[in-house]
Amino acid sequence: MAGRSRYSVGTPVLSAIVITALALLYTLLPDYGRTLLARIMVLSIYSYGFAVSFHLLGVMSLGHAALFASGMYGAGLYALRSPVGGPPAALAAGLASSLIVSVILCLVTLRTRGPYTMIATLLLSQALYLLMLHFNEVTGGEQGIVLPRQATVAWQLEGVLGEAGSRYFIALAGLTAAVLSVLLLQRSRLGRILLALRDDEDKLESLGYDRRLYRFIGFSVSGLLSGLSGSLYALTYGYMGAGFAGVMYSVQPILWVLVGGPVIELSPFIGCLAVGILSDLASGLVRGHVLVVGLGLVAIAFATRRLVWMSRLLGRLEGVGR
Amino acid sequence: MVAEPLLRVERVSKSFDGVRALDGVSLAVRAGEVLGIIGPNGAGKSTLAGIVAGWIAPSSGRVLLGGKEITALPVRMRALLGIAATHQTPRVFTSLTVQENIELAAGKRGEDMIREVAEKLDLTSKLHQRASSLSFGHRRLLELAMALASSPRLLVLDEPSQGLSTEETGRLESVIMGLRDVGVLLIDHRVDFVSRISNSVAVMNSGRVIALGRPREEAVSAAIKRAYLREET
Repeated sequence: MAGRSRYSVGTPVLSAIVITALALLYTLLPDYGRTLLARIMVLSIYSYGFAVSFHLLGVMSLGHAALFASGMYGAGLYALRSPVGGPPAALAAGLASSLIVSVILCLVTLRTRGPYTMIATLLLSQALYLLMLHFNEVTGGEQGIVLPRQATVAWQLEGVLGEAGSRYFIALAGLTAAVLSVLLLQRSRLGRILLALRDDEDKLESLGYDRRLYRFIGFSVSGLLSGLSGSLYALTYGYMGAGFAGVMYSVQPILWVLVGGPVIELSPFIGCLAVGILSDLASGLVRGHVLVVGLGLVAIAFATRRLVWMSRLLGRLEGVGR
Repeated sequence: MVAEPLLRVERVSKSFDGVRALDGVSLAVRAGEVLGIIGPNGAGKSTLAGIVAGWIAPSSGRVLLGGKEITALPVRMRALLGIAATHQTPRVFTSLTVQENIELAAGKRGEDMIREVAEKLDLTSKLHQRASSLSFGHRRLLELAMALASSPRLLVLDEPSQGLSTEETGRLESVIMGLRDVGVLLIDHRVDFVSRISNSVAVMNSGRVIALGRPREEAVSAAIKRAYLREET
């Protein structure tokens, strides 16, 4: 891997094949399969959001659920309360709210590195989670709020694609946007600066680059992708709940990226797909399926040396605590 | 009228937990001049480099670039003013290719600059190779290429010949000697290397400059012997 260029033509081609295959798969899958895959695709956009932070910035965030949930509530509450603009305006509101939260998250963690960043992001997301519980008359708390069908984008397209079809293809469109964003970002100058930032922040600064500005930009991109996922979830499934801001939803993308591996263009989706399918299969077969899924993931992590890869990546975060 | 030196270090001291690493050091580097700093381990050479580059804050004293005080300026601002530095252990971006590393340093200076510095340091054949796969010597040359690509006014080189082969050291010498209008603060423990390419040499020992003059000047040679012999005994 060491001497190989990051820009192999294979990855964009493979990404295009995967997207096309997903589009074709719709005709072959039963309704249940379509619903499951649509949910996996929406959540894998969140996985891409986390991957930008982890792969490109080298920031291990334990608070990404705050970005996902703020996107979800931004879009959901807009769709619920404002008649103006329809789903596109609700999506924009979702993206804007996740951007605001990512700016706050980034400002607070700008001076931290390594485990301190993890702790800071975890605390912030927990604070948001508690706020959501506190204002449960607005957020619906843990029980959440179900959006009226007319407020969802799935309903708007139902006449054309049917309910399952509209969910599926909206999810696919979102996933395509996420893959394209990551492909373009990684091949751009900004992507190279973010990788350099991950490798050696101090060296980058000694070349005249403002590390805070670039960390800020990178984190915002990550926040926007996570927010896109949350917004699409609210607008396609018609549901939002404070539980999505909880720590479980912050840990999940770490798991997806760990299982997916180091290829940023595809691994967030592959990881999310593998965990999603494994969870689904196990839940139908055994009672304690969470334990089975957990053991399965540990086995995958060891068999593919993913933990070594992840710890190496984190090991680059020099000067922990400075 | 004598022109203002490019770099002026005035009575700079630095203590680490009560241990005095630098003790009232004053030096000046003019544009186009190479000032070599020689001294045994622990003489304070790298601390001086760190203070000029901005990695280390001095306990007292001033650092001026082109007559403007930069003592409190952060590394990034110093880079924007034209200070480029290389580290004792080369620091490059290992996830990027050699070309991308130089590109980042060159900024908007363009393709020609990248090709030119890569050629000078014999890195042309490695441009598309990841920096993580380079040998120690090539990483050192890459870091120097990055420093040169930023078109610096002042170049701070901390032990640049360490880990280089004879051929690579020769190339490094000719690159440094070929620099025009760039002031160079060259820190190295190899007396012969420093003496060959420096216009003037400062000998440091125990955090102080104990001699300053032309290479091979009697006082300088005597100071070098004193500093190194003390280390051996």
